[in-house]
Amino acid sequence: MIDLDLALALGVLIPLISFTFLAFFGSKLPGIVPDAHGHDEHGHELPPDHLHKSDHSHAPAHDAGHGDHHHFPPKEKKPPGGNPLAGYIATAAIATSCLLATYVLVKWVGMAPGQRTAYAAEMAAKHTFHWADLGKLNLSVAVNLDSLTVIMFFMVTFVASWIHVFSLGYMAEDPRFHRFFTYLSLFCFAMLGLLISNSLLFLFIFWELVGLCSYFLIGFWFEKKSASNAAIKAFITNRVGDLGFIVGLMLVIFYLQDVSLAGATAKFRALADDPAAALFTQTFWGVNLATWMGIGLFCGAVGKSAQFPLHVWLPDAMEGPTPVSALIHAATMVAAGVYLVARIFGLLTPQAQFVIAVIGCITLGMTALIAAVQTDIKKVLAYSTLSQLGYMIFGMGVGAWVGALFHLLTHAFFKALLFLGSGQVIAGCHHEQDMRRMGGLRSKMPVTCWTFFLAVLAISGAGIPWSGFGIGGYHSKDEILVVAYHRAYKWFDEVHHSEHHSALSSSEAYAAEPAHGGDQKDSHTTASHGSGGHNSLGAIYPQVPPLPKWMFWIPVIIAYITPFYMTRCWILTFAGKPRDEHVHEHAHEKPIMWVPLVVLAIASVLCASIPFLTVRLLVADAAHTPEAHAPIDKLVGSRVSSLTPAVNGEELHDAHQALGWIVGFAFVAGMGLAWAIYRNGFGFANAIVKSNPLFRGIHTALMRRLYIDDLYNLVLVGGTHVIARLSAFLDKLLVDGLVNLVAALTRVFSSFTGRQLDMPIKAGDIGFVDAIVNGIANATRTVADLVRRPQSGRIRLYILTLAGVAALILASVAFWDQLEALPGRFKPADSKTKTQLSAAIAGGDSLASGAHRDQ
Amino acid sequence: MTSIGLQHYLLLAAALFCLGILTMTLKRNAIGILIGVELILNAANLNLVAFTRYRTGAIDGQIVAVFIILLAAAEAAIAIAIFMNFYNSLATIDVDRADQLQG
Amino acid sequence: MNVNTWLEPIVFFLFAGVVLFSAIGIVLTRNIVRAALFLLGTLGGVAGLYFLLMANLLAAIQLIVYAGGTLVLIVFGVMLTSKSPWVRFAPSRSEAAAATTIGLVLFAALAKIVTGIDWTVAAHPADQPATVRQVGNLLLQQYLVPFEVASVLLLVVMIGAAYLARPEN
Repeated sequence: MIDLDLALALGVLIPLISFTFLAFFGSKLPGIVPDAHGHDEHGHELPPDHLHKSDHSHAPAHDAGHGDHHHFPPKEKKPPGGNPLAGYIATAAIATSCLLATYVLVKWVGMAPGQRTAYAAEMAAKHTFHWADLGKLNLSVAVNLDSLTVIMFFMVTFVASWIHVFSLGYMAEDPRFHRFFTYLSLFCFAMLGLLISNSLLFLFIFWELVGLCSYFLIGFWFEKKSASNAAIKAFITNRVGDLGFIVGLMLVIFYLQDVSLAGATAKFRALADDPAAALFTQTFWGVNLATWMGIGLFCGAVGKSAQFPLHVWLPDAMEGPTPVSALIHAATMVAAGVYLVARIFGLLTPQAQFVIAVIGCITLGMTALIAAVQTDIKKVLAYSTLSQLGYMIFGMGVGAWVGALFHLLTHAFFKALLFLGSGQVIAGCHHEQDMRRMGGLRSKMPVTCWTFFLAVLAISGAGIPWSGFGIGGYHSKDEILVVAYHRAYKWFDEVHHSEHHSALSSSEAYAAEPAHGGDQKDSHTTASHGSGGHNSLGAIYPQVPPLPKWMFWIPVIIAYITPFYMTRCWILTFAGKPRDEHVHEHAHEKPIMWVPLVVLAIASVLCASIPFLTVRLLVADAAHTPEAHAPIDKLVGSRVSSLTPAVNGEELHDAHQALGWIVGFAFVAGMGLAWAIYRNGFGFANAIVKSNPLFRGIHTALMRRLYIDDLYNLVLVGGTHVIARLSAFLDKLLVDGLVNLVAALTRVFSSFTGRQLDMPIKAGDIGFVDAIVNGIANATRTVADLVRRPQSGRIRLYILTLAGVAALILASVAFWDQLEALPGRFKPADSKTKTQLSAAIAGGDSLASGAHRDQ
Repeated sequence: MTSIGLQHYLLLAAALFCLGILTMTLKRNAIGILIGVELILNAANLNLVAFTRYRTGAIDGQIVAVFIILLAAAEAAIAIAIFMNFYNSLATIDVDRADQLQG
Repeated sequence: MNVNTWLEPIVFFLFAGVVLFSAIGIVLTRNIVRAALFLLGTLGGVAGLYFLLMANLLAAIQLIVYAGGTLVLIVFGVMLTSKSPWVRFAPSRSEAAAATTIGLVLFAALAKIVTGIDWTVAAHPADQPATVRQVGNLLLQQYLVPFEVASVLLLVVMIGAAYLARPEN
């Protein structure tokens, strides 16, 4: 059968073909032209114009900045909706990719771990295409076949397929239906390409491509000012992060001379063994270049995954259609940042990792708090996405490589489910997004309601403590927390244990390192680095700081807040009494939209529990790829963990048992609190906020997104204005002033000279100065007349002159001897000019081709 | 018969170059000037290829010649676009009429 | 003494003759269409010389791009820019005399320099034609940056030419 890497490459190309086809023919597809009831094959009667009136009927109450509603052009033209054929083509394409991915996944799982490595190496040798050499940089193209790619590829194609199906229903009435699917196909191509890239350069190219698709899709309803602004904001914010990525990439190219993921990691580790390596000894602002390299690359992830300083674009990106929010801004593209960190994990120094952990910690804490006060259903989900991404980045930072990626995968399923559920609600309520107008939708949308609830349980990490039974975050999030706990509390024990620990695990992951020769090498490198590491890795990376305790406790507290705000969201939407009869009355579900919900719900339950065996196992297996061979996870031990929930190894097992008390009941507490406060709608919550000025202040601050957007507005936008004003002022003051001053001086001077020097003695006579001025003018004219002659504007004359001068020069060189021989001519001391010339040319030549003649 | 060496090619290229110059100066048709430029570029290419064969034994000169051919094509495209504009505005292709910039 | 030794001068002088004859024709004819046809002869002759210089790919490129592309472009230019292509604009006699003088001096000087130098020749002038693979490898590896720059240039030229030649409204 087909080789697995080629199958993956084919899976990438199919969406590209679909994109190309749709881009050229999407608007011309022959027509299944839907009439007003065309999409209603399932029996929902939609009065054709009702859709478009209802979203404007509440215009006064509607917050313009939060709407997800369409602004249709006037409807005199048929067809009102898009051509569903375009959607079918795109869906078929991604579904085919998904089948290929399933095939690869099944084959891959069927292999033994050792066999996989051998197979990947064989395929790499067989299918690597050597592209170009740029100096020492060797660029080759190949599919990066490993467990992480396989499982991520499957996840993306699977989620994307069902989101395509959902979009068929969600976008049905949109006039630019085909264009939506064109963009979706392009996105799928770019995202899948990103996953199979084997070098940082190609990763970067696809990285930019997904960013571009994100821009297109956020601004899909570009007639709306807020949507086009959000698209621009997302694009520009991402550029800031990508600048860091480019700087990191340059450092990689300059110092490692290899951009392939495995090659760069290998070079980096080799350099780390060299005490004199410039990458580690040169510093900038007191931090060595290796750390800057890691931080630079991480900046790309900060932009794409919307981490703390650059997180502002993601909530605004909810202006895009909801399937886009589900696919791009929740499940796949924003998670690409985490994927990138996973791939560059081997290029990180402990300091860079610490920066990553801090950024992740800030993001997850701050955004979870903001999520707790949002009233727009999509904004709640957006901030929840930010918080969960913060968890993943934090997990990477503390060395929970496996845990973070595992969380990425489980999160993709349940967050896609949440967003599609919200999309169902929004579409069903005629583009109403404000939870203050919802409530009581349970009876109208039973499927959406209960699948959404399942996703809430998954994101809350619901499970039975100590039993190993739970869904979603129970496994993945807890694994991150366990590793963080370990870093914060058990660190020193671990370092002391690491010597025999590494000897034990060397057969598995570090087989390449001579375990027995470690002591000698250790003492050597330890001495040269002047540090107190306990094994060779500890010596190379001498200062691996233990995690500050607050960096363990913030994620734990947020683990309590997450169930709170998610349950709040669910209660306000589905439970209680309807707060707006009009919205409630017309709410409905469409099968084409709830079927994907059910499928994703099943997937999000299964991915973390039964095929836990597959998903978690594959991620853990991927930890043996070179990129993951970073120093820190060896010391923590998470990489050698395997099947049992979360961890392996005694200390970590104990830690998990202890954490059972700390986070095991978080979901119960959070959900209970939410039920207590929001059971009857907003009344009680508003009362609490009003009861105390402190609460009011906190609430306002959170509603204003902690003033970060305001700060950026003030500093960046305001700063630009200030600079512009300042330059305008300087322009007026200095330049204009100078010009005016000169003019005034000239006027004074000329009036002086005019009166004193240039007084005509008698009529008809001209003054002294006039005479001079006229004289100069006349002289100028004469000269100009002379100069103007050859300036004929005749191009042929110019060429002739040029050729003539060239001929003259060449001839004088060539015929110097003859000229010299003429009587009465100037004779230079050395008269052998011609032979000199000849010798000069021949001499230069002998230098150039000496090697040839010597042979 | 003498064997053909580098000098033969250089002489031929020199002649071609001079003929190119003559074409450029003697044609009043703008396209004639373009043809002259092509002759000169061909002379240069001939030199490059001859040098690279007889003096280095490598093929780098051929690469440069490829680039020159490319540039010549690009230059011809732009030049003809300009000539068409010229013709549209002056209703002639005689370069001697293009002297509005004369001093 | 192999075939090439006696065949090479014959072929060289044949092609050189074609080149020179056509080039002189270009200079002398007053008709721009004929000049374009003569240019075809020159380009073809130079392509033949490229074959002789073991630059087979370059010769093919010369024929395809120059003779096939650029020349067609020129002929189209002639068609599009002239109401009657047979219109002749002759240069003045004095111009012709000056130009001929300059051309002869230039050629004499160049010939003097070229013949006056003892050109050292590589010990092994290439006697195998350069393969497409060699040229392609050089283009995409050592000369990748100029190659990419050239591709950007072509794009710019395409847009620029379309912009310049667009119908004015």
